[in-house]
Amino acid sequence: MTMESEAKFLNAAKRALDEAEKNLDPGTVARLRAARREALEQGQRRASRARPAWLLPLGGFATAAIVLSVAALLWFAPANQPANMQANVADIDLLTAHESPEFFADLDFLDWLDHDDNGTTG
Amino acid sequence: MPALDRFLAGVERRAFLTARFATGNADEAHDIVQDAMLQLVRSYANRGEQEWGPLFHTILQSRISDWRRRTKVRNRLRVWFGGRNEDDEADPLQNMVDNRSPDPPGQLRDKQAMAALEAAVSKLPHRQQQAFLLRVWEGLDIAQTARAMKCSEGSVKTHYSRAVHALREQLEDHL
Repeated sequence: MTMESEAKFLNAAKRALDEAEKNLDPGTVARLRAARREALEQGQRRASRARPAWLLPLGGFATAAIVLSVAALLWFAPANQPANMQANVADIDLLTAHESPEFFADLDFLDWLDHDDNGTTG
Repeated sequence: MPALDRFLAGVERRAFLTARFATGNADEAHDIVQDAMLQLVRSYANRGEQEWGPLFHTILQSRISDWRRRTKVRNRLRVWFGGRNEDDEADPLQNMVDNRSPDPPGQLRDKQAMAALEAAVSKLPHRQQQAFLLRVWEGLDIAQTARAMKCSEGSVKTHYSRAVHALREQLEDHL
C-alpha cells in the first residue's frame, strides 16, 4: 500500500462523500434549514432575555451594599437596644392598662404625692 | 446572527450524513444535528468564528455517543423483556425493484460508488468511523480530531489507520 495509492483512494472517498452531501434530497435539506432557523431563533430569544454584560458588576455591587448595610445594623444595634426595649415595655403598659390616659399624664404628680405622704406619715 | 447562520448552513448537511452513518436512521440523525446546533447557539454563539468548527464537531460527536449509549441500554432492555427489535426488520420499500429508466453509465457508476462508500462507512466500528470522517471529510488534523473524539492522538491514529485499511479492502473496485 503506497502513500500515493492511499492518497488517491482518500481523494476518491472524499469526492464520493461530497457528492452524497450535494445530492441530499430536498426534504432533508428543508428539514435541516428549519432546524437551523429554530436553533438560531431560540438563541436570539435567550440572548434578549439575558442581562447585558455591563449590568453584571452592578449586581455584585448591590449585593455587597446590602451585606454591608446588614453588617452595620447588627454592629450598632446592641448600643441602642436597652433604651428601645424600655420604651417598648412602657408603651405596652400604656396600651394594656385599664386606667384613663389622664392617670398616666399625672403619674409623676401622683408619685410625688405618694412619696410626700409616706414622708410625712412615716 | 448572520455569521452563525452561515456557519451552520455550511456544516449542517455533512453533520446530518455523519449522524446518519452512525445511527443508520434519518430521523435520529435530524434530532442529533438539531440538538448540536441548539447547543452551539446557546453556549458558544459569543465565541470567535474560528472556534465554532471544532466546537460543533465536539458537540456533534458527543451527541452521537449519547445516542449510542441510550440505544445500547434500550436494546439490552428489549432483550431482557423479550421484545422484538424493530430496527432489525427489513424495510420492504428498500427491497423493491427500481423500474425507473436507468441513469447514464457515468452517473450510475458515481451513484454505485457513493452507495458502496456509504454502506462501508456505516459498517465501520464507531470510533473508526468518527476518525475517518473527521480526518478525511472534515479535514481536521490529528489534535483537533482527538479533541472532538475525546481521546488521545495515538488512539486517533490507530482508529484512522484501521478505518482506511478496512475501507480500501472493501472499496478498491468502486473508487
